[in-house]
Amino acid sequence: MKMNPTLPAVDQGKRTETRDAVALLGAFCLFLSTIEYLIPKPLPFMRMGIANLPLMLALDLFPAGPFFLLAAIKTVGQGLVTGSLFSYVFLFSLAGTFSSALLMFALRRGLGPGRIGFVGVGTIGALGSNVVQVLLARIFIFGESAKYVAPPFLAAGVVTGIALGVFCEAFTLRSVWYKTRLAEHSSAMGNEAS
Amino acid sequence: MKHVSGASGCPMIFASYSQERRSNGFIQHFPSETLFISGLISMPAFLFNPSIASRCAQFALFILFNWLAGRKLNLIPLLIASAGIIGFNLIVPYGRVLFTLWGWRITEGALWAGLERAVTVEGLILLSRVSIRSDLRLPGSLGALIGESFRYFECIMDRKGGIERKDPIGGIDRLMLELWEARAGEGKEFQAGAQPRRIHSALAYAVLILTLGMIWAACLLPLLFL
Repeated sequence: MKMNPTLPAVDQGKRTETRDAVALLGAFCLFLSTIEYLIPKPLPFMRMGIANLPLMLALDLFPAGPFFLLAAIKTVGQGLVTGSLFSYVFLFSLAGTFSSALLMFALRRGLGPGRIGFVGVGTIGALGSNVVQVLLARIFIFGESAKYVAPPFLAAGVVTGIALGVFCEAFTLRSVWYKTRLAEHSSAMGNEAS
Repeated sequence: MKHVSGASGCPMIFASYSQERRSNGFIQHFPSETLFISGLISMPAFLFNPSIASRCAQFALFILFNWLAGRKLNLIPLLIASAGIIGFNLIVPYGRVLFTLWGWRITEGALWAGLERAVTVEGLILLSRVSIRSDLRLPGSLGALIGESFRYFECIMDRKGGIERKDPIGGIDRLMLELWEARAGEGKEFQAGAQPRRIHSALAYAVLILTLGMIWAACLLPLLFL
């Protein structure tokens, strides 16, 4: 990583740590994408969304820039790992990931962790992603018939969103890595505020 | 049959020996950048092909190249997904009624539209799978960060056995802690896997150029004669 001579050493270290954490969570997105890729699905773009788990973990760890960078790594990396970069699947993934990332980030930051938990964030994120994907499916694949795909697709989104939220909640309660990063992030935020 | 981690970085579960050999041969002969550019050149020829028959011929070429590249071809998911796309398109009938199936009118227009969309969606996936490899290095800072993620990813794939079904949270957390500690050392274990030796073969490039010519001819000929 290139060092910025205008930043003090502490800030450089913090930036490197954030960058490493983004890369590590990005790798977990790729790992979960490969698991998801092996699960048979009725439509090529229909995914359970388990690769969104690191994005949910990142909600309280990063500011907006690194968070959306992680979303970009997830989308492009997923396109490389599953080889879907040249297909509609990539377009669906890009639109779905960024719409859900935007919704989740806005809700978590807007309402705060005390008012909305990972189950709420996960469900709304999955719904947002699926709504956008159904709209794209209407344009590119199904035409008018998309309205028949929408109900089961959205219902599946609610179920997987809740399941991911529950898993994420359990992970954040138990994970030593997550707790350490969260404590570092909180102290960094505290230092900036003071 | 055995379990291998493909040199392309993609896990090839239960890949046969010949599949592994084809995959390694393909990687040796075609750099990921060349394949990426070839994919980019092929995409418009497939996407804007006006003839469904000609698009099916391109589709067959993509299947052949996936096989040559040692990519695992699962025909059942491909057929299920295609049937799903065609089925959903048949829900809204238009055009001449071909026949009735349990009271469901199968119309010509809807059937062709479904078939065309299924071939397009699945064809693009096949093209993408053969022309995108995980060893492709993208330019810029995002590309560098994706490269770092891939280094971590390779370590995760090597150590994923540590994630037990009984305790996935504990397993993932341990793995994250291990990788977090290892990143500071940048030791040998953190290096990306060795890539197969590259072979610069004029014949391989000739085959690639011929294939690109065939893909574009399949698009341009119907435009000239239809």
